[in-house]
Amino acid sequence: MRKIVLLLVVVAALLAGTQVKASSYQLNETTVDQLFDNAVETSMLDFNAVTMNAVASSSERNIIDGKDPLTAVLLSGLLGWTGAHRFYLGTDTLTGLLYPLITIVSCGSTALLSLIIPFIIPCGSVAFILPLVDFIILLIDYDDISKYIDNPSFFMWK
Amino acid sequence: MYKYIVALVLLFVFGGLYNANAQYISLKQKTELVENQKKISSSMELYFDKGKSAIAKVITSPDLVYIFSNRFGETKIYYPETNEVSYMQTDILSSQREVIYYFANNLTDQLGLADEGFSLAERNFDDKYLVTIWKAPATMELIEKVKMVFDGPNPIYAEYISRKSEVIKKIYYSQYNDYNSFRLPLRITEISYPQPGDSTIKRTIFSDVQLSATPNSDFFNFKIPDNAEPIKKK
Repeated sequence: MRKIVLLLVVVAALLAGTQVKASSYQLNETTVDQLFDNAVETSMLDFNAVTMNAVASSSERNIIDGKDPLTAVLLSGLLGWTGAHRFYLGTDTLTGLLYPLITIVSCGSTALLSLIIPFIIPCGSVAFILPLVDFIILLIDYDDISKYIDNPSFFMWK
Repeated sequence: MYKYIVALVLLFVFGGLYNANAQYISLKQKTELVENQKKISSSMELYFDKGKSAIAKVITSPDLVYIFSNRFGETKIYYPETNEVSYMQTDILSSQREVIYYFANNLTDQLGLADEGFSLAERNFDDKYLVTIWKAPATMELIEKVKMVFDGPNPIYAEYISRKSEVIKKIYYSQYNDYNSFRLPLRITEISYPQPGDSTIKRTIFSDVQLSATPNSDFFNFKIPDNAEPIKKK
């Protein structure tokens, strides 16, 4: 209960900070100190990615490790079949090369099949499922793409 | 008596000059971060070579790690316990992104905002405080502007405002100490709002600040052992 009251006091003090009063430019450090004193020490692993992101001193929070999520999304959307977004975010060379390889194999096989069976699914459509999924999850996790950086897994969301 | 006065004056003058020319700055830093009543903390020693704009961070807690960065973001991370080393280059790790860089070089009027592409849009007074508004470059999707507040020459408050006009970060600089050639806030409190109704508070406390005209620690010229094993990226 005491912790909740303390937290409320800090939040109230912070909300007051949005007003344009000169006094709002200074923080009640004693209250903040009490908040830290009452917090339970934990390991870094227990903190979620959002928290770790806040540790970063960069003011543009959503750029992690120099990787811009917008660039990653655009690469996966436009050049996803080449694995460009995986190379940009960092991955094993083999994982990245599998993307164009699958596209070539998929395009070749569907082209051959279309000679036998008319109206076969469009060329290489299977190959585009993977970058499409990558594109969607990068959009969903746009604010924190850290788990996709230097990720060696073939399915980067796993 | 006259000799003593002369000696004192000389000591004062040369002492001041010595500090003004001090290009080697060392200090201790303790950073704690609290969220949802959980806290993580780290302690480190910083060795900043003002002339070279190079910084060495000796992280003592939670793990012993040495990080050496220059102005270009070329970074070496050395793990002394395992004698391993990794190399990387990223602007985020540039020594010129460090708080100590801006304060030691008296670049306190913008604290790196200009380097990140912000442009000064407004400048006015709120009571005795100077308030400056910095507009974010169009390439920054999240942030629209930053408000900085100064008490005299010292920045005391910064507020990051999103393009949705929400305050996403507040930074309070306090407990300034004068080191002759620059002033340094010994305490920085940063409150981030990653999501509405959620907040993270980061408290950084500097202590044991020492200035010297010559390197007073081996970490200013630390050489990673030749036999250190490079860590390969997976």
